[in-house]
Amino acid sequence: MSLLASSMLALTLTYAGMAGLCMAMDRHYVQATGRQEMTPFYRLALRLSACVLLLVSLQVCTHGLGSGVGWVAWLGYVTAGALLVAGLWAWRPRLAVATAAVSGIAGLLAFVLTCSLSTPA
Amino acid sequence: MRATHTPDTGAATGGLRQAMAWLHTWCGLWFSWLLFAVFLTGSLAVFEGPITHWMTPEHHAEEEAARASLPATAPVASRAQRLAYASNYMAQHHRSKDMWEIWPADAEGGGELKVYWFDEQHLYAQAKLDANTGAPQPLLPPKVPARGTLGGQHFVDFHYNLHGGTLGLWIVAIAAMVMLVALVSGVITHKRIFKDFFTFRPKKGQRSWLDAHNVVAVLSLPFQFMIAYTGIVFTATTYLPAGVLAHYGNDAGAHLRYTTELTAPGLQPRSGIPLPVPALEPFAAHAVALMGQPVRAMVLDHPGDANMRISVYGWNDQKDLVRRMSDSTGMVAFAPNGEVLHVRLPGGSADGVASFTSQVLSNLHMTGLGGLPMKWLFFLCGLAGTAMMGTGAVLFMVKRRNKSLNEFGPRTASVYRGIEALNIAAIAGLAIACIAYLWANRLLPLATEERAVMELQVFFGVWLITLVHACARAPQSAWREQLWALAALCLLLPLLNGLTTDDHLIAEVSRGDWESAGVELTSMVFGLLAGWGAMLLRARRLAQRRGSTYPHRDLTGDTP
Amino acid sequence: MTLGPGQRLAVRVLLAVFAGYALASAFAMVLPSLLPMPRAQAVLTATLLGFVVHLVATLWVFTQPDLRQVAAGLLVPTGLLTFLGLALQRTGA
Repeated sequence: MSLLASSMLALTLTYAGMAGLCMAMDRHYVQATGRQEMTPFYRLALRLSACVLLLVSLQVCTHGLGSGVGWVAWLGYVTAGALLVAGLWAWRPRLAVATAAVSGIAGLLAFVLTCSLSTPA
Repeated sequence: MRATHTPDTGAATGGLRQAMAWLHTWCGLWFSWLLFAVFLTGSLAVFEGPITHWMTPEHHAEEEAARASLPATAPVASRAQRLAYASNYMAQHHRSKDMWEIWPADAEGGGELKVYWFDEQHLYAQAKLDANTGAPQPLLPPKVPARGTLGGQHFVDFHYNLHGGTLGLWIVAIAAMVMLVALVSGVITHKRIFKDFFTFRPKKGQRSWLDAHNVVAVLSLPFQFMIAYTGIVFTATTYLPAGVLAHYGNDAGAHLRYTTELTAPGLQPRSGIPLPVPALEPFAAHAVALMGQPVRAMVLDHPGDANMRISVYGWNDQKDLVRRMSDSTGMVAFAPNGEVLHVRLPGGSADGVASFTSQVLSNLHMTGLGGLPMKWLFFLCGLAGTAMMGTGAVLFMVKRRNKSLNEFGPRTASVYRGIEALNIAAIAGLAIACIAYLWANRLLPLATEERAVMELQVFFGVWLITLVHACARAPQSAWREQLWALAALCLLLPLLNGLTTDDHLIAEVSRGDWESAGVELTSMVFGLLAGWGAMLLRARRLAQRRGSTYPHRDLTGDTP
Repeated sequence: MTLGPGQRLAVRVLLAVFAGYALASAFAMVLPSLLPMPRAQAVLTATLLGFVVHLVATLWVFTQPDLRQVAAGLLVPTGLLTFLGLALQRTGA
């Protein structure tokens, strides 16, 4: 995967992951859905999904850039993703949720595809 | 203590959070203007290359020609030949020097042949030799270009020493230490750091400014700590020489002895026993095999002595730098009999953990790793840091516009007025000065003497004018006017380029000149942001006119 | 001696800046003698860490209300470290 493609993928994944962490917080959940209550299971599922997305993003970074530089880049993408989430959630929370969901699914698919393409059949 | 007019300062009172809040407020405020400038120019310095490229349009044709003319058609002397010429030249003319440095060729084995040594003041001196004949060539003074400019280097220089030499360097370093104090005190005092992680509530006045300050700071916190610390330890022993002075003597040569030991461990002093300098090519070939890079330079310490040491340095491949933490090149050190004394693989840590750490820290600060995406990430995080300082300074005054906290006794109102003016000039004003520098590059007449200095004068002059403007106008008006000026200058940059050169944005994009196009497009984005800020202020002014709010005191009598 | 609040603040800042720097310098002077690495590497390590010492010292200065405690807290360790550093040097460490 080219440097540009892996950068885009890493950012997509961290954006979705940080959005998941954001959604799992009561005050932001209210902003996005209007509902006050979130079941503990739902919160846990959101947080676990977010962790998976962030870890996959870390894998994309370290695979493309080596372990040292990969961690530095990942922290950068986490910051960028978080800033996007904070900005978008304050402006249009539902749009943030929708884009995060699409990003998360698309990102994971892209990751799985590139993994299966690089491993010989 | 007797009661005085001035209330107690509040330093180190109350619990830990309160004491840290006090420290954060005042460290933050007094250094916010300087740090804003350091951070904005530092962020721009990430793209020093593209900015310089945009600022030297006459150079583009030369760059294209240079790219097209590779590979060279003239006979290219071999490395062995070049090293022999250099060695003979140095033996003939600089036999007594204690260090010979030879740069035989570029990474492809062609290019110039240059030799260096230290003169009486221990400064670098050099000579250029013809690679095909070994004859010394006159070093011509560099051609003065028609469009004399510092280019993007201005932002780099301003960033690390304010164009102020050693004094400027120290000022920036002190500011960086204060920034670390502000970062730690800010984290300690921030009660709900995780709860408020993503919280930004717009259109709520002081609350919004605090939210903005918290969000940009906390979300980029790893970067902020890293960039401040790496900025200082870039030249750590300059600021904290005690270790060097204690262990290497406190005379003038101590620092040199330290750096020699750090970079050439195991280098023995001269023995006094003469030994002729051996042929250099076998050393070069052996080094290339050990470190896997073409030869960049060969350094001979104590040439002609039995304790001579021959070190070979490699050329880094730009592609490899993306994945390496350290940008140090390969290096192999030999004794004159060919024995290998020391091998450092490219990007390696063979010199020692501390050296490796220091090189990694410097490389981090200089965005030497991670390629172009990392530069954009650093640019974004640098702007987040810039915003952190800007929102902090504005928040200080927004809070006190509502209700004076009387920190300065009877002089409080005047001090507040001064802070308002400094906020405007340091934030909007500096940004205007930066874009004005680019405008000066296009508008100043070509082929003028000291043109580069004139561009700098425009930068500082415009900045000074924004300060005067900020003092003369009411704060709200000054903010609005400067933001509009900033928006106009940033948005019209591509138009300026089109009118003053025979190039324009569409042409740049169509020929793939993304460096120039990037500068102009980024400028337009900044313009849009500035315009949006000006419109928000305008909307607030209109809302205030329609329904009166608190009376707004200002000393010029101009009502907002 | 009664100091006004502004003067007390000035003393506090001077202590944080200069006494803190002295403490960091003493630290950078002593530590290389104690680190099991080549001299130049040890000096570099100690210098890199010295800035952290100055940072922590500065933060601490602004948590202690009593200026006398602040002065003692900075200058006594500085003196001890300096003494230790000189002693270690004389024994050729």
